[in-house]
Amino acid sequence: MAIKYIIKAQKVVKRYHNHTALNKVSIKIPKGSIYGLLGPNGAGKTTFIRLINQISKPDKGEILFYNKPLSEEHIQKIGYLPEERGLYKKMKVGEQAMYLAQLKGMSKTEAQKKLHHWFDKFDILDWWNKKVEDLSKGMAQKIQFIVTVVHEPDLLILDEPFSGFDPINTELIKQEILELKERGTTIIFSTHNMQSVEEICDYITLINQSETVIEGPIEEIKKKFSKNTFDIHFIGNMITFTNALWTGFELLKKEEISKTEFKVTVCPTGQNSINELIKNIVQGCEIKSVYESSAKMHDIFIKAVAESNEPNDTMNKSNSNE
Amino acid sequence: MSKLRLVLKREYKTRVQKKSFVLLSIISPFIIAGLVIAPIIIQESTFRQKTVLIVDNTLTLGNLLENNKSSKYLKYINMPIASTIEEVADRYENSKDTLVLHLNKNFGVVSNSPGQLYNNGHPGPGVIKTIKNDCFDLFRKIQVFRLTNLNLEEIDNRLGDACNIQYEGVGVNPEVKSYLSLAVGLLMYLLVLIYGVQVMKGVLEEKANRIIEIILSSIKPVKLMWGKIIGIGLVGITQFSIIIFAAIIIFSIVQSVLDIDASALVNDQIMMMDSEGKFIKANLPTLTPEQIDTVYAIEGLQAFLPTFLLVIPFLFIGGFLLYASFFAALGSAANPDTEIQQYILPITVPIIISMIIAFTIMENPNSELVYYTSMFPLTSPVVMASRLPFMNWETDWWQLVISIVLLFGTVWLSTRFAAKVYKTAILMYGQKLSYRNIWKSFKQSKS
Repeated sequence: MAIKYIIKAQKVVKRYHNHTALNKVSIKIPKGSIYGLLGPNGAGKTTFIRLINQISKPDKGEILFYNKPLSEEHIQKIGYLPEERGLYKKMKVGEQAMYLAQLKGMSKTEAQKKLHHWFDKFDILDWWNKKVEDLSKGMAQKIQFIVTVVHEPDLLILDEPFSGFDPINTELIKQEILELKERGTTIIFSTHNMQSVEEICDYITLINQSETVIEGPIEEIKKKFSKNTFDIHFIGNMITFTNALWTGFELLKKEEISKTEFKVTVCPTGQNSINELIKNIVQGCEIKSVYESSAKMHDIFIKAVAESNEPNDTMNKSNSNE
Repeated sequence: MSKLRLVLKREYKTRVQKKSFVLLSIISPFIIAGLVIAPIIIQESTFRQKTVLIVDNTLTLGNLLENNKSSKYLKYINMPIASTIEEVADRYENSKDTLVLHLNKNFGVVSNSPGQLYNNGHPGPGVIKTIKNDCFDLFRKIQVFRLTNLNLEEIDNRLGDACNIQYEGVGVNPEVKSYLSLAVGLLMYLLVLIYGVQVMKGVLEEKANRIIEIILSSIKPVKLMWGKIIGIGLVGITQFSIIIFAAIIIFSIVQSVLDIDASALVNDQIMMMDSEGKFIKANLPTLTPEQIDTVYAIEGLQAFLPTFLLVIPFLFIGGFLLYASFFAALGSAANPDTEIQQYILPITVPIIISMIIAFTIMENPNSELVYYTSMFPLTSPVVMASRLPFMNWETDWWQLVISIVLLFGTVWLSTRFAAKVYKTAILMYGQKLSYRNIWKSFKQSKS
């Protein structure tokens, strides 16, 4: 039977001396997907990533890689680009890339061949003998990306991969990520950039205060958080429009583009169809567009974090009252 | 290639390729050569051939000075009694290397003051002292001659050229031992300290430039730490070997340039010492005191070398691992932008104390302080190394064994401690550096 999940974390607990970094976190990462790992600062994302990388070990629970407990042999099947990343400044680029590739278990000749391929692809072969201290931040980021992917890992963990890149290079890296996915690489993508999450992620998990808050396919989550609202752009009289709302809709937002042009957001008060409203509006106004407004990842993030903080806040308040 | 070897190779290669390493390796043999040769060169340049013109008012002693001179750099010329003052002045004024010695007529009879010495330039205190000694030597011989009526040649034979105290004891001359002891102690102190601090800097460098997390996703923290410590330790051993071999080569070169057969020299001396009571004029090469020191040092080093090469590596490896592990723990717990200097000092205190004790070994190699500190692991690498030249191998070997066993026992504990601290602290950035936090990291780490 084909293995569906590359990573299965089961009730993972990780404690440091004065706080719990992860509390019974369970995450399943489908093979071949781009998986967004989201959460506010200090939520426990980096701790979770470090557990997968075996930099530290969980206190309780288990992480399975292809259904087997994580072990040293898995290290070379994982590529990790940490958020805080650097290189040896005094070392030459090529020498350093060779070192890091060999640390991932590649042979010298294999590493040389693959690195040349990547350097050539990024058109940076002439950097090979330069020292890292002579490179710009963006240039160093490219080298870091290459050494993360050169050993062709099954699982790629990218923590804020676009930070430090200009828009052109961001696009280049984004394309590379998508290409890697095409070739079957599973990618864990940790970022605060919600737009890029929407663009490339298939699944997400949102961790807040050491616990999983949301988990699942991004489309399902967006649907779940969708408020059943519609954005309507029309030319006409606002009074005519408001009169039409008696069909069972509520006006949530109004934006006046000119005296006769408006963008509004409405939501049905009951089980009413949007068709009823449109039928009434078209009698006095010209409709330019109607969209069902889907929830933005940005809003989902804020809402979910706020909701998950609520019980704690209440508890904190009651504690302080005592 | 195993990951440990990869790390080790990188640590080693990047350091030995550094300009500072190459420079130090090239310079240090020259420094040693300089230390050995400088006194000889100084001697040569100061003691340029000087001519002493003697105006002899005693009428008898002027001729004897050339035969009784103690330095080959001096030539005494007794001016003919009939020579005019102009003849003397002419030779004297045309050269700065010519001196005029005006011998009093009472010299040698009732006065031990030879008279006046004239020179146009600056003869230097060494030259004046040598002339003074030569005159005084002659004066004493004359006195012996007047009392004993022996002829001067007989007196010469009886007085001999040099005074030798026969040293009964084990091994090399104690003076040579003292120098060796100090040199070995100092070398050990510098190596342990320099390369220990390098470990700390290496750990901190990885933390500061944030490559640590990338590396730790490929290799276990403890392996990385060991790779670093062993790699840097090997750099130390390489540097150490370069210095030692350069020293041996330079000593050999000096030996061949000076054309000294050290063993023949020593044998000659023994012959002289053996024939007590009989004043046999030993066939000594004409050597300056500095050259004789060099010969002694070569002799000492040759005698000491086998034990040195056998024991010193153990002490160096033990001492280095012990201190390197403390430095690695400190480096891992430090933050790149915080002041680490004040935390280094307490770690270096034991090793500084051991160097101070090493200085006392020259005076009293068998004191209790030396004995116990050469066993105590924090001080033994330096103190025991300094003690080595004074140890009697046949009776004291067990002390060496205990010292090394204790040292490596402590190394086992300290490296385990360092590994635990390193594992936890290396990825912590926000925490303030303090011994308490280092201890916390140790407690928190799972074995």
